[in-house]
Amino acid sequence: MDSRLGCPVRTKSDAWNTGYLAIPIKRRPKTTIKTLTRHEMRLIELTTKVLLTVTAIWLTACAPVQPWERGNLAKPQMALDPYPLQSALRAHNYGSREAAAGGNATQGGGCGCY
Amino acid sequence: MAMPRKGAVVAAIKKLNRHYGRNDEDCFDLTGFSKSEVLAKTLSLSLHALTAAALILPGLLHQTAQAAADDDEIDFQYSHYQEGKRDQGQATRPFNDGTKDVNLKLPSYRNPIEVEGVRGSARISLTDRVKFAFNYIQDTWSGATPLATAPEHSLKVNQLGNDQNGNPIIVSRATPELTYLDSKNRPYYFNDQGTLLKDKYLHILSYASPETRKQGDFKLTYNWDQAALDIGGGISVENDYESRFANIGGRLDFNQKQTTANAGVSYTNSEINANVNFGGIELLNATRQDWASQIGLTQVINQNAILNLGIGYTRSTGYQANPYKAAVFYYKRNDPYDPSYADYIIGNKVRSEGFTVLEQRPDVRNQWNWSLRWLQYIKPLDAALHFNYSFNLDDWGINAHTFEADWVQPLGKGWTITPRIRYYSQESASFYQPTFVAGGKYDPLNYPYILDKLPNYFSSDQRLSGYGTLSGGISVSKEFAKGIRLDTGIEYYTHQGALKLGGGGEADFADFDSWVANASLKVNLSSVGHGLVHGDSAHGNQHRHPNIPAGVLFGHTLEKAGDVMAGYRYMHGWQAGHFMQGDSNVNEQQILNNSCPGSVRFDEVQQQLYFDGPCTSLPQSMSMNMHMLDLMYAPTDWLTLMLMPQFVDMQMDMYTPDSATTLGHSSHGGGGSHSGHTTQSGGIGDTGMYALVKLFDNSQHHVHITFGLSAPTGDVGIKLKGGIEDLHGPANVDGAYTHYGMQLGSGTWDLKPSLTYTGAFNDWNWGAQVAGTKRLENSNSSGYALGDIFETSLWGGYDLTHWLSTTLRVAYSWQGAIKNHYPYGRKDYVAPDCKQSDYIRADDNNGDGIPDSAAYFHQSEFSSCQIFISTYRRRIDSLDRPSPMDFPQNYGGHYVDVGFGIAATIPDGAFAGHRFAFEWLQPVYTDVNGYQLDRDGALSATWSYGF
Repeated sequence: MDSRLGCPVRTKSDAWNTGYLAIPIKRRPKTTIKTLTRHEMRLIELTTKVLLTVTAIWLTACAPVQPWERGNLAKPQMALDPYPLQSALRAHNYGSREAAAGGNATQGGGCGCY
Repeated sequence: MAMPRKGAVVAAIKKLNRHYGRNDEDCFDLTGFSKSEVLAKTLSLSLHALTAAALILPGLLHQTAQAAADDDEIDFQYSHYQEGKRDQGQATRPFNDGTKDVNLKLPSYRNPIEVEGVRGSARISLTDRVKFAFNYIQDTWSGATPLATAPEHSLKVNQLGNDQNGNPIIVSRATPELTYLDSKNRPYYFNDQGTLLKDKYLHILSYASPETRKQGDFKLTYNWDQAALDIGGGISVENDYESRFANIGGRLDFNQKQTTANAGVSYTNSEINANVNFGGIELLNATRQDWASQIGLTQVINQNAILNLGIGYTRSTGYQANPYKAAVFYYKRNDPYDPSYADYIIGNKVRSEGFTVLEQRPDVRNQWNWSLRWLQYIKPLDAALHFNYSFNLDDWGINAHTFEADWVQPLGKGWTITPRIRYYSQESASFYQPTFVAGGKYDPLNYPYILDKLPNYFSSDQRLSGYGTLSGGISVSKEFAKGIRLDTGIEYYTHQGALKLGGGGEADFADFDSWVANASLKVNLSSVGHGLVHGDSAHGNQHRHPNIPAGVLFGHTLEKAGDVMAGYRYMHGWQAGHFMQGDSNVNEQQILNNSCPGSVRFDEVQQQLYFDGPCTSLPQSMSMNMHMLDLMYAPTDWLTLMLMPQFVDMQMDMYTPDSATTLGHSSHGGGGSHSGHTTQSGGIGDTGMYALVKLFDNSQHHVHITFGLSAPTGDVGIKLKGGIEDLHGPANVDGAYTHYGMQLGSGTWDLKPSLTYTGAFNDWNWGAQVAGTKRLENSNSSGYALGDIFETSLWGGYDLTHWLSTTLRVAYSWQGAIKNHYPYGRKDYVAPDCKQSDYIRADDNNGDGIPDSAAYFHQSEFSSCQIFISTYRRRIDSLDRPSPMDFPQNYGGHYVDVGFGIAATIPDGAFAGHRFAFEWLQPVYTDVNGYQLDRDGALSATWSYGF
């Protein structure tokens, strides 16, 4: 991702061209009836992409960031979730309003009552 | 895929069939039903305990992949969710002479959904490596929510009367009737001129009484240097839905902590007990299981960027429908054998008749989720950009994309401001439609049609439709000195079919918007604890926390200028004793007959209404919880300022005594939800602001006076679900006010003065307090005012050890009865007024059409109209007040209690410096005003921490 780190230059677009991604993924013609087959296809497609992205990024991260270089990363604004209480509340509200939010609403419980 | 039908729906259909002596089949067979029977049977959803469909996985998966550097912390959060009013659209009313229909705009009577939520959490290090976290969450919601969808003009209305301005008061019935469907099943209606026009869909809304959900959960974490393992679990309880969940998760750091992997699994088991009152089902019992798993990877990309990836899989089995959502089906009358065939076909539009069925969803759902989160530090601004994307996919056909970006900007001096934006889009579930069409055949032997089997799955829940949402908000956070942080946030949210990615979303009838505001207070014990542990000896601590019983408020002031103290106070009151009048017990019959003056009674023999009837429902028990925050600050040595926000919730169990049903009404009382039910309410209560002034202070004696003002922040307009029996229960008006004691505040500005004396000598201490509450107004926005209060307490205490002490207290209190009352006659539900002008006319005694006299005012007819209307209103009013707690005179009284208290100031360890106190208040003498349920006692608990 960043050649300054001393890795072989490997940009995101390079990663996409490593050949793994050349797996031909045929999009089925759009139909109005949704079938499991189509979901499975999309699932495979997505999983592949995600796994390859992970690998690609892993490779780019080969130059270590030393602990004393992580000052910025340790700042509160760089926490994965700087406002966990608010996030939980928002996830609960989204989860009770949206069909798919259950997957990432990891806090809260019971029915989404509103 | 031929999946078995959901048991409950099958049961309903079978029961309907059996009821009418039909075969025990599981298809919805309308054979032999008259249309009105079908319509009457199909939908009268009781939304007393309405629950929404979208279930939130209480998985508590481990999401924070970064090494847990979390400090010990105690948090309190309050939130308010508010939806905008929804358009009620138009509805059709048959014209008075029945010749044509009139289309009327439906007024938006109903309050939209609102939710009051509170949360308290604590995260404590038990040892260096073991952390314990606990959460308590409570939310109470109420308001109008869609129960089905129908073409706008297929909804018929009733005219209830006229309002003060003479405009008609109309409400829609919940049952859809006729519509015309074209070849693509699009709805049409006849306008006033008799032309067929395209109709649009509309949600049928229904109001729900307040309902409370409570959740408690915990997590125990063990930390190694480069790994962590946590287990957790919890329970979420509401009237009709109970979930228990457990989870396990782990974290592993490697690659010199540049890479963190985490994984978690959770299991949730939920039980649904919904009172649906639908087509023969009264109680729907079902269960549901959710397994959720997630793996994640967090990678330090460079000195300024972090990447987080996650994959989740969730499998849900069991009952996943919403028991309070229905789908409207139409059958087209286009069978050529139908004798009315010719009349019912207009061009390509076919007259179609509707009926309503509980929605039905598949028993299994598999969901996958991929997420990507990028955190970028922006050096020139010292800010951080958080970008999230996630994709969800499930086998119901719902694919969803979520994009979210936050900009976290520290501004210096402890301020941080975070604007955020979020966009979400989903495709509709494969079994979603706003309305459905059922095939059918005309059967000459039966009326009118035999229907084909309904599809296996169908739902008209807008959450399963295709739409997009856009929301934006801002969080503002201020870090005060000593580890105290206040976070506030507000977010606006809009749901629109037109916002769906790629277009093709649901039409705008399903659009709505909402906003959420929240505030949280965080106390970082690791930061504040240092100062206290090093700066204060145990003796010093004790001096700061004199031994005051937990149930006594304003018992002490702060020591010196600059001191800050945070506390939490909890009170629980029970009432489940005998019925009392004055200071003696009375039996059920006495309280029924005497405690609800003015109640309606219908005399079967004389066929006459009287207003000397009995109550129709009685309280069985009542419980109240109050959560209060004590925030104290001393600007000078002699003055302590105190702010006390409160969160209250109440629950009352009601029953209808057998004798009540035979005495008065043929069925249950008015509010529809009063009898044989649990009534709940909850939300933010009144907010107290106090100034405590030291009058005298030496080592042994201390006197201070408190000037307090209580602001009416608690809601006093809470209403129950609507529906009055003898008017065919229109579902879309708010019901009667809930019992006075169930409102969340006083509704008035109140003065709260008190005088406190405390003394101490060696291990002994004592104190006395007199306190009062004076209502500064005679009535609140709902028309009444609570009685004034006078309280006095006398106590003594003894320190068993340097950290444990006990107290004994005697308390006397008096509270006046409620002044004034709720408005008589429901504002949005009144009988037509008698207009003088209607009674000015000429007589025509022989009926030849020629007036026998000049026009004059028919006084006697006008008077009887007035009597009729006032009787009618009294009747409605009486139905709205079925129980003793609906009468102001049944509130207040004299009370004497004895309190047993214990208090501990933790000397060392994880909770060093914290003070916990408990007191049980045991009633010893009660003399109530009017008729009331006796008290069982009250528990007070406090936590306080000074720094």
